[in-house]
Amino acid sequence: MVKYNRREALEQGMKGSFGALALGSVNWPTVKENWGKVPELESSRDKRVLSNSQTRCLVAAAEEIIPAKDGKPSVTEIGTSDYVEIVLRQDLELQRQMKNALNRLDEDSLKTFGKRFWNLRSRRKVQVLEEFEKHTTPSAGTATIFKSRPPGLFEVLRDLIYEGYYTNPLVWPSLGYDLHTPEFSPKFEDFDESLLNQVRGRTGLYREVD
Amino acid sequence: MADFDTDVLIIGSGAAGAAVAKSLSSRGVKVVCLEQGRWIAPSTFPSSQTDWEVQLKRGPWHFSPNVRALPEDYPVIGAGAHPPDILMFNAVGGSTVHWTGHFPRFRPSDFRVRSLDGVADDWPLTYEELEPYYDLNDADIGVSGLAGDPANPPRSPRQSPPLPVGELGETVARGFTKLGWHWWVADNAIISRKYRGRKACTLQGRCMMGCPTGAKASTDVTHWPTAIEQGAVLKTNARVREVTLDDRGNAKGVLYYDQDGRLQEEKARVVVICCNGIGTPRLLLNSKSALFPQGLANSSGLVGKNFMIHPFRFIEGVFEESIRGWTGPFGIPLFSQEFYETDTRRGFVRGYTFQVERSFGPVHQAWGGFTGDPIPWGESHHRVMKERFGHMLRVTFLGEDLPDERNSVTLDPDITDSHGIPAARVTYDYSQNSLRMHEHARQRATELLESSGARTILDSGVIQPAFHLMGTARMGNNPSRSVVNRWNQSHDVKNLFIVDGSSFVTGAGVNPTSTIGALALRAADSIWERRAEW
Repeated sequence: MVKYNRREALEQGMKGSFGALALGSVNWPTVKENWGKVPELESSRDKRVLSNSQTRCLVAAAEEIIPAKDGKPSVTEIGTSDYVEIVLRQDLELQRQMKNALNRLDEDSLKTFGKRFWNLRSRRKVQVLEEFEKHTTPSAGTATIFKSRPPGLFEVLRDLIYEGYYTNPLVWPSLGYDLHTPEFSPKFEDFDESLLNQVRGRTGLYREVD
Repeated sequence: MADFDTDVLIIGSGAAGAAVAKSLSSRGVKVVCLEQGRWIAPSTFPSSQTDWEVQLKRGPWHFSPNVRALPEDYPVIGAGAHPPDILMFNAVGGSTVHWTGHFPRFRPSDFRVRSLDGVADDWPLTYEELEPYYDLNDADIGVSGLAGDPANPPRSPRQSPPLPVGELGETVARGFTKLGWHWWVADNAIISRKYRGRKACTLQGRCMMGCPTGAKASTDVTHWPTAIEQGAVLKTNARVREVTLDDRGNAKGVLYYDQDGRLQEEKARVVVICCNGIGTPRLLLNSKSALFPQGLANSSGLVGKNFMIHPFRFIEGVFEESIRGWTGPFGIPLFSQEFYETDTRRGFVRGYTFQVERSFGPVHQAWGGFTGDPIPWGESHHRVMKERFGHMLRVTFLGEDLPDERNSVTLDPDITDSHGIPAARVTYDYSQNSLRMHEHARQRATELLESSGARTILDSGVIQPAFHLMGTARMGNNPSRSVVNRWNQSHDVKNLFIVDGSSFVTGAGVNPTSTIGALALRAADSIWERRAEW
């Protein structure tokens, strides 16, 4: 297991980041203005970017998106909202999107059930999240690191919660995952060449050229 | 002969530039290389950090220069019916810092596309001519693999044995065997045993995020230390604005911005451009002069034309048992070329390679993996995550993209880089041939995964990531139909060489880096043999 200070590693890793400009969603005037500039980082670690209500919405949404069950650590237990807070501090565009998502969730909740999102019962929270997902997810497929599409607001919320949860080593043992290092390498058998016996006998697999 | 201190000026320090620099400096040639990026310390690679997957999505290690937007990057604007997502890296070592290390060769037929299949053009050289350079390049890089693949001409013993394929590889090997299809353990530029002072791979994975042990070849590790020891000078944070000419129309050198933003001139007897299939035409088109009003070395009008990428598609299989799909090096464990050569009954010409590949970690899996199918949130989240994570393998279709003059690199009229140099605009549209190949590959990959025992199959659909950038300063014997000759020498400017994927006539159905390196060594020999002319 790697020894590290999670918060420090996170803050170091984010330096120089220009944030969540997904491929294909590049805003060229903004990019043009900022190209090559190192972004200003929030200097105070204690200065929170999410308001109390936004944080309460985030925690409540995270607990429904990744429920504490099947023996898995809960999002609250491992501090997923703290992770999100730190990431947002470093990334103004993501911060804007996430605030929009959390505000929208709370507004939808008030409109539909007359209560703040975090005060809803679990079933109703899920209902609000489902509606939010339905109305903010673009129809044109899903974004991947190799396939462009600007993420919808719900996807921003969901993916950042996934990120906060699954980058936390406390979650890894339950997945059988670890960050291998030179001192802690996975074990593999050497390649068994006899597996190729059937292929070796084949001919005519490539064209000879004069 | 020009009276300059520098014999050969190389622009770009990646696979091609490093090979030229190492080869020529070993013979006492005075080499200077200008690299717009910087050295990156292996200790800072994201591969050692817990959030390494996050850095694939945003931040300074993103594959796309448009997302990184660092001072050393330049914008690349996608356009056309299928605007490509251009992926490249700007640093000492270029994109070899960020690649997976898969290291296949072209086949003999790849050099004879017009003669054999009546499409595109033949290369002005043959596989046999390039073969000795493939071997030399392999020795510089250090390749793991196994000679004897019946789908390729015989090749010399690899520098180290194949990397282990693990349960994932054995699972899909059984599928191939059932179907009677070709497969072979892949050549990777990742050494499985100690080699030339480099440590063997420790199988940590995450190779694309920088190899902290140096087992994966990247030219900052494999080439530059030796080249510098031999006397080559590598200047970093040096962005070239234009190539300059003397009164006779020969290349005189370049104007570049140094790390403090000051415009400098570097003169040399020979200029070698190694900036990749986008950076190279961008530089040539930005080097207009009275003699070359359409861009340097562009009397054919083909600089920037015939841009090729490799059509890609990911098809993932989910298996009942864990196959440790995320564990092990990210170089390709094994591949198949069952459908590589043309068979017109399939409805398309040319063909493709299947690459069997591993997954990333849990974050990427939750986000949707390579096929964009996120783990559902809520009640079923942990169950589906458990079913998928470690239980998946990926078959990547990599097909041949035929050249088309409408697919091009031009200069953007509005966007510039941080030095005010016009950005590249890349216009691209998949051909019907490529789309038919996509569909064939989808069906065959599904068949393969079913044969291997997958219980669920996921498909990315047609995608256009472009990290293999080719064809925009093509090679040929006819100066009106090509930009460089068979030695990578400009038809128009005799002391200018263009040595990277842009010189490719066709793209084949395999990754290009091995061929880029071999061509670079061949071009270096040519420069050396003609040294009396400079």
